[in-house]
Amino acid sequence: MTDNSKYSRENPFDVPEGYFDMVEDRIEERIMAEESESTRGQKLIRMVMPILGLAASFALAFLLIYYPVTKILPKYTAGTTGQQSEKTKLDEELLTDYGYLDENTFFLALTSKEEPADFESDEVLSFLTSELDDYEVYAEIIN
Amino acid sequence: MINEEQLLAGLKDESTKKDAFRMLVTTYKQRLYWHIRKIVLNHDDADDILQNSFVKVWRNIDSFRSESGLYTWLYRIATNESLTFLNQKKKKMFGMDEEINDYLVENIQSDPYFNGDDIQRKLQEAIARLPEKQRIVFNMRYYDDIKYQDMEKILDTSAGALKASFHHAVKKIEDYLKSTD
Repeated sequence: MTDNSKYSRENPFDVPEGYFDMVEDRIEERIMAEESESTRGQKLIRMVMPILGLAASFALAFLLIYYPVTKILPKYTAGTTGQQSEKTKLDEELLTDYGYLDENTFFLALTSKEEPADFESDEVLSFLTSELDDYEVYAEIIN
Repeated sequence: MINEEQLLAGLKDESTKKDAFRMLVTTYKQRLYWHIRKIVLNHDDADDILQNSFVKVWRNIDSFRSESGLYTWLYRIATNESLTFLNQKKKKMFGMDEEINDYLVENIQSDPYFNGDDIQRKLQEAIARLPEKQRIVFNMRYYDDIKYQDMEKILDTSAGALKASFHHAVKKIEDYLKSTD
């Protein structure tokens, strides 16, 4: 420095009166407060741990049930009920188709000419008599 | 007066740990306080940092390895705590170095515990405007008369770099004082 005598090395700062007398006590108080807080935290953890353990086991049990039910069962049931659901779907589609028809269109659809199929006389006879008992068949033949 | 070895032995023994720690605080509180105060330039902040430093010492005393020396270890903790404090301040001020220097100069100007005259205030302001490392090195050498050998361990910097820092600091302070005369 250019002129050392001008700028003394004396400390120009001060502290509040009696500050240094209390430092030890305040630090000890702080350490004790922090330690008791951490002990309280540990106590709380010890109290909460069983509850957390129980909750965790419930969660695990739920997962063990929930996963197979949502992931495995749908694949299995899809295989067995596939055909049935397909049939239901077809019925629903037919119903929807006829639901939108007015009366005229419906009758037209009923009376529309379709190529008659060639039936053998035996087939026709068995079809006609399928819902008749023997007595009724006999009465029909007589008349 | 108790020496460093006796103090350490007391700190390592559970039955004497509390008394030895109180003795440690009594022995080093003033030196560490002034070291911190010159870095942060505010009594309340220095008080907080001093307490933090001793709490850290209490927590880590079992892991302390005596080869580095208790005195340098304590200075190192206090320096790191002070720099952490300033870095947090700097973050709040959007990371500008100039702003942290302005904050330190304001601390000197508004300090109710500043007892120096105008010349000393001007010198303190010049020191406050230095870069962080140069400021710490200058204070440790000029006011606390700490040897470069010890400073090396405290600041984890080579003696050559510390001497260069001190030299730069002196130059900058001289320039500032000349410009404000």
